[in-house]
Amino acid sequence: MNNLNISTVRGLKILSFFFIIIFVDQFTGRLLSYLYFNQKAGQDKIINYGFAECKADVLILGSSRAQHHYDTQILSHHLQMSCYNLGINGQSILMPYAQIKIILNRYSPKIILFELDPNRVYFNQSDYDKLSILLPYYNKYPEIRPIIQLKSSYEQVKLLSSIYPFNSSIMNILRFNTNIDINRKWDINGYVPIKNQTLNTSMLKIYKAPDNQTEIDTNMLNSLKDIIHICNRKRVALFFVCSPVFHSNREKKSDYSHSSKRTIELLKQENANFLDFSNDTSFINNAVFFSDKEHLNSKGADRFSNILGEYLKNLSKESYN
Amino acid sequence: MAFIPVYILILGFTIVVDYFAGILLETAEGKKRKYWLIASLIANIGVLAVFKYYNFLNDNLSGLLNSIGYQNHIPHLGILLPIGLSFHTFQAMSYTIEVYRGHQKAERNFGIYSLYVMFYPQLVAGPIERPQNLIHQFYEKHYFEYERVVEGLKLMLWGLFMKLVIADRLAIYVNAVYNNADQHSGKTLALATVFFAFQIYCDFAGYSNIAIGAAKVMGFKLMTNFNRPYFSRSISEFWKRWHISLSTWFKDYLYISLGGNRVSIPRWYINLFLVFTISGLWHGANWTYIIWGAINGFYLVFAIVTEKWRKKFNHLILLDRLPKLHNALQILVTFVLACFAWVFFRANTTVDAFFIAKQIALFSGSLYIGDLQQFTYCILSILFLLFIERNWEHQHQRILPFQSNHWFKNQLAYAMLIFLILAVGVFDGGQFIYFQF
Repeated sequence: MNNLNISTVRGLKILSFFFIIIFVDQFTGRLLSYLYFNQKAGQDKIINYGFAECKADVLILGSSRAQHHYDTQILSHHLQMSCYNLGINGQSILMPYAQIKIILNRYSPKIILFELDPNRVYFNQSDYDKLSILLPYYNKYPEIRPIIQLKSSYEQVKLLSSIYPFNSSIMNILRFNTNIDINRKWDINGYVPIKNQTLNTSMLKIYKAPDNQTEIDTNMLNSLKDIIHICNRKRVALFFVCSPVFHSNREKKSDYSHSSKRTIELLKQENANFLDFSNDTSFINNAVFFSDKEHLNSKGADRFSNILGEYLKNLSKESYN
Repeated sequence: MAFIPVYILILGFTIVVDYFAGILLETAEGKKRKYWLIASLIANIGVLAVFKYYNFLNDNLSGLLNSIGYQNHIPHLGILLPIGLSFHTFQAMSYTIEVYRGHQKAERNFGIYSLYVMFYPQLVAGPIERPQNLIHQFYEKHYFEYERVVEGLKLMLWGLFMKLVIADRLAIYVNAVYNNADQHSGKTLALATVFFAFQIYCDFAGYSNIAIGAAKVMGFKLMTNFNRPYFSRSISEFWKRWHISLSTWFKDYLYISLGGNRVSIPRWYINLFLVFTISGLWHGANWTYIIWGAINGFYLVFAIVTEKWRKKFNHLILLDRLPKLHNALQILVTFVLACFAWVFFRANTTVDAFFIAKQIALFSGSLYIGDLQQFTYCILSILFLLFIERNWEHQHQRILPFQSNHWFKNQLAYAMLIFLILAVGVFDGGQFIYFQF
């Protein structure tokens, strides 16, 4: 009888423990979901805006290089079209792929400028890890579920938790539900200029060419292919653009890395537009235009956006109308 | 570091060799016992030498020969380091040494001996157990004990928290800085080094807690491997609290075998320095680890040499009359010394390490924060750890955090721990640092 009582109490304790966990998870998860989609600023707000509201004629997609290099005002001025920068820090190909899948289901912009480092089709686990940025949209947009599932085979299990989709973003969710907006107040239609920063070349190591032995990620190549097909179907003028870099690993054709070659081959096969500014000699080794080896500062972005805007303006309107 | 199924044969080889070596050691007499021990040690160290150190030695030999105008034609081995090799090799070696010393009977049951080497909770990253602590437990009957199972699960949860919420979070900042050291200021490199100190602690102690907790759930008791090392007041104390199973292994089987402190004073210093340098080499086939070990050896020798002077100095500035301040300063100095050594442990190359150490000494430039949210998590996680461990430090009997007398408060605390893991844990790309050793 005594043993039975002890077992009952233990059973109840275990049940109450699981009840607490489920309650905290569900309650906090729903609260976070509400707050997430009501953010007043920040990167998530831009992602939300891109997915649900943006109707700009020109969209810019890609990584932090997209976010910091493409001045939306300058491009709008040259092209006489509305322009929005949906570049997201740390992303490569898969996030823009998800953005294109969702946005082009809603409307067709006239032009998409896709910032692409052709060397980024090698396998890099962090490209998949960073897809966690899409987790809050798993239920809302079924079309991106196959992309999220590339992250790991356990994602569906992890998503049983309501808190998990907001993992690591609670502080930003809380911060951007208030008016305390420190970093993002300088964004101009998604473009975030890097002001007052110039590359300190004295601290740079001697540049080494990228390793040619890295494994090509077929998911990346297939995603690029599908992006081209979707844009063709929706009659969107798609331009892959590689904006300037401080050191060019593409100065000589023989220096192209294996993954760069595969990307460029694919773009040629698919008749895609590829504008490569990484060889632009006015930028190479010109520290005044860079904040670090990979990113243009606002001065560099200004110059690059003018060059790109002028180039696109000079193209026949029929090619992207 | 890799997991390749066929590499199980390496483990099989050492198990077979040491199993028979143990029996032969016990039955043999006189010098033969020593020969069997040496044969077993050569087999174990030989496996380590081939898989872990061969290419390192070959590279260094090539460098040396090139510098005097000769070519080294010995080929590089295209092999990967099997996961946890150093751990189970050391555990196997401790068995034959203990049998040789007569502290442990040779195990006749091959299955039990294999289990001793391959006991899964501690197979890949310790704690490195001694046969007299573990083997007898395999013969005992284990029954389900609710309290023990719950304690084991709580310990595993705390380990997961240390790993996912603290270590892997700090790793994001540390990797960003250390992998691009040339682009960061002295202040940033200093902060990244402090973060790394906590990262490696939470990574390894987190794994140890998971291993000890998993064993406890099944009814086995493994040795404590970490005891809040950053509350140490000297480097000597630090090594009594950090990776205890390895420190005691080196003490019992190498330091004492070399004569320990029962030798002339210069020889004692050499013994200390040598043991720590070899301990550095145990961590990895790289000069960064060797230098890290040597720095720790130097700290210990320096502490012994200057002990009298330091006492006099403390007396002179009246520090010995302010025990709390004295303790705090000792903890701080020990932490700073440990951090300096961690620079060499974490840096990708020795060139990087010296560059980083120089930049830190200059303490120049502005502090890189990166993503504010990520940075805030780093700071908060360290503060949370220090808060928990500080309370823990004053209650030595505790082995678990959050021990309230009220069961509901306990449950709430552990539910919150799960919530924090889900909310701010890093689920991507994390790997235990010590798996590579």
